[in-house]
This record gives sequence, C-alpha cells and structure tokens, in this order.
Amino acid sequence: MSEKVLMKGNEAFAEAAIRSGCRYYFGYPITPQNEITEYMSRELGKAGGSFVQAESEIAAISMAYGGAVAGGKVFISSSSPGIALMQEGFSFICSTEIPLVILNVSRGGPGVGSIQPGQADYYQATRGGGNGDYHLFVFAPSSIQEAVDIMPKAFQIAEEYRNPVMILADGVLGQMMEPIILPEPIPAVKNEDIPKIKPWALTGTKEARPHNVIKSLYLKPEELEDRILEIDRKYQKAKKELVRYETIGLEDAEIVFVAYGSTARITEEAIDLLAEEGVKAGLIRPVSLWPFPYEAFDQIPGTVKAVVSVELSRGQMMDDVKIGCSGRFPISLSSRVGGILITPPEIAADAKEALGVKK
Amino acid sequence: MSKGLVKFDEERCKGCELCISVCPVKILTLHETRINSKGYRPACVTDVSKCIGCANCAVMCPDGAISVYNEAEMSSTSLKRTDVRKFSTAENFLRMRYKEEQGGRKDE
Amino acid sequence: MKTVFEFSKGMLPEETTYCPGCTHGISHRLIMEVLEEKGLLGETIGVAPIGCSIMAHHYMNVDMCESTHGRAPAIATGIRRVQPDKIIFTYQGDGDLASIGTGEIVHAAHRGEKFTTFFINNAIYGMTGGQMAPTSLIGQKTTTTIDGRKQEVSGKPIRMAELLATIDGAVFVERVSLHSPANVRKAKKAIQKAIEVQEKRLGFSFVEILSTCPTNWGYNPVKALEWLKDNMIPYYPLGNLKCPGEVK
Repeated sequence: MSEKVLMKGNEAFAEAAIRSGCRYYFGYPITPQNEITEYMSRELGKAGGSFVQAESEIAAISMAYGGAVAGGKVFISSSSPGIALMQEGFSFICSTEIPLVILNVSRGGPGVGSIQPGQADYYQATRGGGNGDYHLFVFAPSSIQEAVDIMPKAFQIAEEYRNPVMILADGVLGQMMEPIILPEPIPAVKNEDIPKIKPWALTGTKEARPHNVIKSLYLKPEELEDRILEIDRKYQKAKKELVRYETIGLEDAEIVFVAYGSTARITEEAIDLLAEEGVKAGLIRPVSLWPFPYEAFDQIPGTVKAVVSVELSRGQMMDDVKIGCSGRFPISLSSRVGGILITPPEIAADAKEALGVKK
Repeated sequence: MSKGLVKFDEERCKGCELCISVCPVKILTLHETRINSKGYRPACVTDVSKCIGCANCAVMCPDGAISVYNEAEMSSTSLKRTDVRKFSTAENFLRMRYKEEQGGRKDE
Repeated sequence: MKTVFEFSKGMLPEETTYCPGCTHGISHRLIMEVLEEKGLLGETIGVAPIGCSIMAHHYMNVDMCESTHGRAPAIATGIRRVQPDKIIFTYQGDGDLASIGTGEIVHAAHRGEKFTTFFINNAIYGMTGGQMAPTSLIGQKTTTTIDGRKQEVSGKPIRMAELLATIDGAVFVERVSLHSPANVRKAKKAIQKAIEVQEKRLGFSFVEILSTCPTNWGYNPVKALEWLKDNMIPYYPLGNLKCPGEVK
C-alpha cells in the first residue's frame, strides 16, 4: 500500500523507522527533533513496541545499547548537542559490534548554538567524537523521501555489518513537509526468533549454551589489536560497498559544487542561476559521508576551474573534498553558519568569485 | 571420625586468610612450606578430626577454594560435581584425597 | 555423605584476578548461588560495571555485557524492554553507581524498573588505584585525600540506600555486609528477596553490599573486615529499608 502522504520530516523519519521493523526507541527531547520523540511515544506502542523517555541523551544511548545487545531493533534520534553526549556510546557500540540506527537532526553549533539548521556535525559524524579506532556509517539524505528510503537500508546495513548507522539529516529536513511515499512495512522480529538471527545476543543461556558476553575491554594488547583489525576489515569492506553519491552536470562544467543534505537542493538552484548567466556548474552530492565518495571526484573533467564546497559550517567537509580532488583543482568554501540558510544567489556569487581565482 | 570434612583447592587459594579468621575450631592455617603456582601459601587444615562442618570457611572464601562435606568418607557420587572443574583443580583434589586415604603426605 | 558447601555452578571455573581477600568473590558467588537455587541461571542477563568487576563476566555463568561507566541501569532498562521475561541485574561499584551513575540509578528507581541492582560499596575506587569515592568516610585516607577526606572540601559520604529508599519505584532496598559469615548469610537472604521482588515484577530492587578493598585501604584482608565493621557500619547502618509485603 504505497500511498503518497504529506508529512513533516521528523514524523516521516519516525514512521519509516517503525516500518523498517524497529520496535524500540529511547529518546530525550531536544529541538529541532522533538516530533520524532513525540511520534514514537504515540505510535510505537501501537505497533507493539516500547518507548522510553530517557533522563538524558547519555541514558538514551545506553538504553539503546541495552536494547540492541538483547537483540532488539533499536532506533534513536537527537540533535547536535545531544549527539555530542552520545559519542562515548557510539565508540562503545562500535567496539562491541552492536547494530543501531541513529538519526541526527543537526542544528547550528558550537555549544548550545542555535535551534535552526546547521551542518557543522560533519566532523563529529565522520571523524568520530568518541575515542579509539571506529567509524559510524553516515548517510545524508537531501529530501524526506530519500531519508525514508534510506531508513530500512540503514537497519539492514547496521545488522549486516553489526555497526551503528547514522542518518545525518538537518533541521530543514526535520521541520519541512513534503509529499512522500513511505516504505512498505517490514514485520518485527519475534522475540523467540532472536537467538536464531542474532546468536550473539543476550537472551539467556537456558543452560543449553555457553554464556554470551558483550565486551569492550581487552587488557591483553595483542587481543585488542586483533579485535581492532577484525573490525577494521568491516570498515574496509564498507569503503567498497557502502559509497553512495549523486552527480549532476559534471561533463561540461566550469565549476563544480560539493554539497549534501538540504544544502544540495539549494545549490541546485544556484546552478540554475549560474546557467542563466552562462556559467556551467556541476554538483557532486555525497549521500554517504562515511565512507566518503572520493571516487566521484575522479569524474570531474580537467577543464573544471574550481571546486566549491557549500556547507552550513565553516568547511568541515573541505578536508574530504581536498582528498577527492587530489590537488587537481583550487577549492573554496561557500558557507553560512549560525542557523542561517545559505541562498542560491549567495552560492552563485561565491562561485563567480572562485572562478576569478587563479590555480 | 570427624563430623565435617573440608577440601581445599590449593591452586585457587590466594592466602587471604579469611577462612582462617572465621574457623570456630581454629583448625585452618596457611601451609608452612608449600607455595602454589600463583606464589601464595595456600590455606590448609591442621586437624580435620576437629572439623564441625559449619562451612564458615567456605562461605567467606572469595575464590571458591573450599568445599565442605559432613562425613569423613567420600562417596563416588560426591566426586562428580567437582569433576566439572578445571583439570588442575580436580587433579589437586584427587591428590589430596589420596593422601588423606593413605593417612599422610606421600610426596612434596 | 552430604555436601554442605560446594562452589556454585553459577560461577565459572576461571580463577578470579581480584586481589586476595577482595569480597567481590563472595558477592559474585552469593548472587550466582541464589540464581542457581532458583533455577534462573539460564534466564538471567547481567550488566557488569566499569570498575574491578568489569571482569565479572569471566566468572558469572550468565549472559552478560559490559557497560560504560555508570550507565548500567540505563542499559538494563533497554534490555528489559526487549527481554520482558528474563531476570536482569546490574552489579556496580561506588564510582559507577554513586558518582558518575547517580542520574541513571535514580531514574531507574524512579521508573520502578523491574530489575535488581547490587551495589558494592567499599568506600574507595579500587580499579583506578584507591582514589576517594563518594562513599569514602570522613578522615579516610585515599590517593586523592592523602590527609583524609574533609567534609568542607568533599562533603559527607553519600548513603545510596537511604537516598533510593525515598523513591516510590524502589520497592525493595536493603543494606548488608560481608564482614563475617553470619553477615554473608544475611546478605544472601537479602539477595534472595531482591530477586523474588523481580520475579514478581513488583518494582526496582536494590541491595547495597558493604565490601572491603584490602589493597587500597592498606590493610590485610582480615584487618579489612574489621575496619569495615568498626568504621563503615556505624555510618552505613545495616538492615532493610523497604520491602513489599509480598516477599516479607
């Protein structure tokens, strides 16, 4: 039953999670994602699931770990400062190889920052705010439809890789309304089936098997190194299998934008504005931020004069853009911060300025 | 014949002396000459005939080194539960029991 | 030939790396004995803390997970939602529960979470080498209070059992001690009742277990038991603070 519905982004994310088979949500209110928590408080119980309003984001990520080690399909959401509180949890969950889907409706920072949209969690998401060698798989939708399409895949990837997946949305996507088609509902896993599907989960030994242990501490260095290398093999596999991106108009471009999330849509408007002035602009839109689509940059023809990273941050994606460009092009930043959305004319103006720059 | 019988797994013992401090008939001591592979002097019984089988020692032992029975003879069924323990434990246990039956120390 | 005492099969054969005389070995065993006697070993999931007893899963023969510091009650909350029919416990020391984890334990009690927390109070931080704990006594010398804990700097020690007993959701709260065989046996009874409260799903159950840390207190294990009796019990009185009628 794929009907088109007009939904607010936050509510659509929550509904998509339920339709992906999630039955456990642990949340703490934080703007601009509160509709997710509220939606889950109303709807998850009706779907046979369990909702807990946690006492903090630290408690929420801990409850999520608990639900997931017990074999549950868990979804949590927060926004930038709350995600900051969860960093220890992410490192812990990656080290214990537990599946989880996290949604960040990012807002302006740093600190308490702004309740308006931002994209300044790029470092936090892709470089890891927690300790140690680990990665979240990070996907950045640029429409509500893309977000709800990614949701079931996020759960599938999380369970296949036994690694948390982050959907990095922003306050624009969370608060806007769009007509969307929701994914087909996937039935929830029955509790009695958990030991078969997830033999590592904590379900009680029934005195019929050795006890399962979920652990993160390894006092013997050789053991920990083996563990890290074993987990790293998953990340190498992800770099081959989980890269997602979109390109527009690279072939005859003079200038190429790199933008993700809502900013990519604004950038497409800027591309149209530049076209009216006879400037050909293309776009690389990363969808996977980790693993980052460096390979997309190989498609930029040598005739391109400049690459512009368009972000609602002070250029957190530029390091990856530089790696992708491998020194072939000058790179500059088109940015607004503080919760201000950049506009197509501003992007176009920054692009023209970049074109005036010699290599 | 004593009312109680205590068995010590010398390899598990860390020589903490909690058992010695709570034995109401004061028949426990750290072994004078033996040192286990961890480097501790293990606890042992000086005069098992005085054992009353109260199990205070076993209750206070943090390391599961003590088992308590309330007759002097070991039946074969009672061996089964201790057999599931690690080999070194069972070996020591059987060694100790053999020594008891022979009425004294055989070696070491 | 009758067995008076044998090591519970709830305890794995692995020898613990806890210090000689550390009462973790006793409290681990008591919990596992209770679960074995009630036939619950196969139905139990435990959460180990950050602290010396992060190693608990090497010794306890039940499904277990490690936790981030202080968060065990939140983790247990998540486990409880997914496994409503299992027996769940957290096992936490004084840093884990009374310091960084005060938020989580208070809220678990407040929600009346249907699991059991065993609080190992040895008035010091063991694993990190003997720093002051929120439960360290006034005048107690630790590596961060070398002249003895001072009230004007660090406040008075926190009594977690009394604090949690004020919360409606905490329906069973008892403080016990391990300083003598008689008290160890009483501690086991309290653990039995706490697990019964959980079996009957009456609410949150909590057992504070006064314990020793010979190494960091600087006493031999036997003297440490005496120090506990002479110094900790006057400040942390033993006894049941709350018990639902169904398990009295």
